[in-house]
Amino acid sequence: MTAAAAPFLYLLPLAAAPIVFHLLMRRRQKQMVFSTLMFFHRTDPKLQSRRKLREWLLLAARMLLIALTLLALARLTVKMPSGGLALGGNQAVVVLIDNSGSMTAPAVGSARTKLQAAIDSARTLVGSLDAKALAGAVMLVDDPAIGVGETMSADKKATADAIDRIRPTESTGDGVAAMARAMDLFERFSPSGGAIHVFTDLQEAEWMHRRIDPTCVRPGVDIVFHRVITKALDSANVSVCDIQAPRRRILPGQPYLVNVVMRNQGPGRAAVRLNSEDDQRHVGAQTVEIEPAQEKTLSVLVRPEAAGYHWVKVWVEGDSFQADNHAALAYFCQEKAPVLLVGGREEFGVLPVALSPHGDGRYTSLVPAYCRLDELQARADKAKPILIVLTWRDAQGLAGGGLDAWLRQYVEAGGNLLLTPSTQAKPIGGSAPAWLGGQPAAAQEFPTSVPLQVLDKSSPFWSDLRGPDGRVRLGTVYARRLQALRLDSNAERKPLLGLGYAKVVLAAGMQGKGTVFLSGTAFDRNWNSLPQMKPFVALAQIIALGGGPPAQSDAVLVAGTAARLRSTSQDPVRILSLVGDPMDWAGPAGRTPVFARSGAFTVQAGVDRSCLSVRSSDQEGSSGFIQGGAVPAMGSTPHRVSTLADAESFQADLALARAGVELYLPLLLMALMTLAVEGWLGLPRRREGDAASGKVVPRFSADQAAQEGGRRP
Amino acid sequence: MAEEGVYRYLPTRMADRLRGMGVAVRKQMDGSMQGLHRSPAFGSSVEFAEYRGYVPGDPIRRIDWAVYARTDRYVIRQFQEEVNIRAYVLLDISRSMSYRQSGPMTKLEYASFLAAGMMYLMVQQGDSTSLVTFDADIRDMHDLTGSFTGLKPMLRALEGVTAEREGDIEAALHAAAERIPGKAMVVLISDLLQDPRQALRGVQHLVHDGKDVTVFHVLDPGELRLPIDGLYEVEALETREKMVVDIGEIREAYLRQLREYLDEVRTGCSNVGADYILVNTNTEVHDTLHKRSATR
Repeated sequence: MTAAAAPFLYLLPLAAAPIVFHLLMRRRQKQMVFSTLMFFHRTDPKLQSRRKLREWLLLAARMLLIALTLLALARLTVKMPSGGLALGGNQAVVVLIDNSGSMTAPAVGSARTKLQAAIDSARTLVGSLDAKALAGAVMLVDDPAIGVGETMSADKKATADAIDRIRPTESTGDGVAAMARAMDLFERFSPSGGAIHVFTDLQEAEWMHRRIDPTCVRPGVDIVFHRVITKALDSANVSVCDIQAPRRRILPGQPYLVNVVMRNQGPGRAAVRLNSEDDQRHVGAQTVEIEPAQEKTLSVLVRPEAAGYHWVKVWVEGDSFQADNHAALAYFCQEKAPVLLVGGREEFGVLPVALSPHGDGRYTSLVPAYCRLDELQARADKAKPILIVLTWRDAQGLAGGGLDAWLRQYVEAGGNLLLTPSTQAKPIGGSAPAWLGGQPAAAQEFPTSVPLQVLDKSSPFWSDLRGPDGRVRLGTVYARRLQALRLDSNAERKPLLGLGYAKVVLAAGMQGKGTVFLSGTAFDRNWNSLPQMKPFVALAQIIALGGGPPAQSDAVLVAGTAARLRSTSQDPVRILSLVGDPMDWAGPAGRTPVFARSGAFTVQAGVDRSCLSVRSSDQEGSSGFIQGGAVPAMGSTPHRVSTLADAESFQADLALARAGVELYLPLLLMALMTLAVEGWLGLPRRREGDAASGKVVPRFSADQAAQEGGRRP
Repeated sequence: MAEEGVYRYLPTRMADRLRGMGVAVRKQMDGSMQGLHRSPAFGSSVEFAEYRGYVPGDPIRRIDWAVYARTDRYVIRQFQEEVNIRAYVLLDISRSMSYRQSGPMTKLEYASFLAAGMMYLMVQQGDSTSLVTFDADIRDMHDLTGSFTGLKPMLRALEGVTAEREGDIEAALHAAAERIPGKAMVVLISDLLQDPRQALRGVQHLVHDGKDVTVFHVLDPGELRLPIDGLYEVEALETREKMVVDIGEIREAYLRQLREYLDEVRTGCSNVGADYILVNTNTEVHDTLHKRSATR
């Protein structure tokens, strides 16, 4: 509230003058001698109390009259919270702008996006503040790529520039966290309070499910939500729901499939195109049709040419909402990997050929090498093999030795180990190390070949051999000779192939980070028909590259969330971007930044290095919006919700709020009314009962009597 | 009769104006002397009443010889016996009569003028009069006199009257009724500031004893109008009781009570057969007396 003629306000104490005069005057009680009190005793005692009441009312009216007149003369102007704009009082304003993916949709009645409308209005609001007012900007989704710098200052131009830099994200924001950051600004820069103006579409995913902690709400801070109305979707909206890396170690020169899961969240049938691009400038596009509320998975082929970190990004074209259409994937491609076979080549049947047809890794990036058992550790330390193939005969001689411990350490550090019968030598008897989780029984030969069964069809081991219908396309494997495996129930080795579960021929299980494959049959045509089957090559690759979860599928995050990294090292974690928003961040593992858009990143924690992939939030195109005047996330915290129709009307509201309402006329009218009341109260009273009762006036009147005579004797 | 400036309450100018004014009574009075006023008995006064036939024993001088000459009958003319009036002027000298607010004089002074004038009128027309002063009881009762010479002591006595005591009109009137003999005229001059029922009981006693009662109710203009304003601590003259009132606030109620009181007194007097005249001390005494004389 402001006063154009403030000196009149200093005269306000004069309003108390009537009561002062009254108190002074009422002390003057006069004395009078009268002939009798009989007529005074007969008067109505209520008259005295009525007189006092009317007297006080008269005093109040006179005080009010003086006060109202002075206030009117002071030309007061009050800055009303018109249109929900809390701009009065001590000006300190934080604009909280919803930069989540949903804000990229067009606003109702406008060709602009909701984010553009929000930015324009927020900039107008900041630009309208007084010179000394503090202003700051907070984004719903913390966007490190923008660098708004959450602070408050009197430099409104800097704040407006920061607002202008805001770009749409592909994230789902956290309204409660953003509000807490805005409140924190008031604690740091304006403890006396101010106002938070939130420009948002009030998407349920962001403002519905969590409640703000009342302890972080600063006193004296008004909260005003400016709702940007969302235009309802009337056509297809396909979002990328997931991106799946190949479930194996990736070697250079080999093709791999990246699965992209898409879902149509719109009301109409979608006919869209899935585009892809990788770091080697390989681009691709596939068209797909998806019915409403249906999912489809498309595969994107990647073929890294060299070892190192690679990325591929995919995006959907042709639907009505873009912010949920993006995904990226980072993966690591290993160097050509040696496979160390302990023993002579002839002992392993056709396995070496399946691993590398030419023996130089030309097609498979696997390079077989042979060594004696006593050379194993030295050779492996020199060039770490991706797979060590060991015969049961050699394994039975290891138990309790130093090589046994080394071998276990190798597997647990991530190496793969295959134990297979030798095609040449017979078992020497004894037991293989117990940590392997299984022992072969005596060899058994069948006069006629017996078919082997796939035992655990759902195992990830079979993923690369599984067809579109989910069935394992291995074909029928016939065994002539085998050594059934006795699996240790404590070692969690999963049966994969066998004559039923009673005679398991192939089993696998994780041992630390590596995988142990136990085979009860040699890969030779005298043992079974596998070497003559095409899937055998794929099977050999699976064994070499690992049957468990691939190391490079570390994490696929949804935009708007921070990575939850576990680092045992004291060194800071460093995150570098491969594609997407540029990022070179280093800091504690527990404080990683929020990823605002899809992208591919590498994470280095000490000597460990891994990949991080981010896809757009599929909630942004599907979540509903909060209606009504209460925002659930605010809980019991007072707040107002207004509708941001367009920038022009917002500017008009702003101008009204800034100009305020002139109180001169209302105060003058009130003063006149008070004057009328004062006059009415001051009128001489007739005795109430006379007029009301219609009582007949007595025949004799004292006034008449008083008129009798007139002259002195 | 009186010399200029001799009597305070009967100045010469006032006496001159009263000359020729008469006072009549409504009832038949007892009187020891022949006068202007009818007696309950027939006699040989000058006012003709009726004729009756002569009977032996009647005085010869009462035969109407003119009738005998016309009718050859002896008839006796009968006349209403006319007597003089015994008028007792009862003057209230209680303390409330000393009040004066906006009038030219106190109520007692005005009442004294009125009493002097009344007594002068009575003597002037051949009647006899007496002054009786009272407050809670009869304080002084002068002998009846029918001469101006006899009037002088009463006029002098009026000049020495002071209002010092608390009054009780009813008691005083009861006492007066006991002490005033026969059918006489009683002129009560008082402010009657007592419960009207009590005062009227005293008046009724006088009337019941055959008195022709005239009440001069003397009030000050201040009592009739209460023409002041403001917050006052009011002290009653007789009881010394005090009360704080806002005059402006209660004026309407006061006047309403006063009207009711006056109406009750007036109606009460009328009901018992007494003449009632409300007197404002602003009114000229001659006019007030003229009003009394004009009522008959």
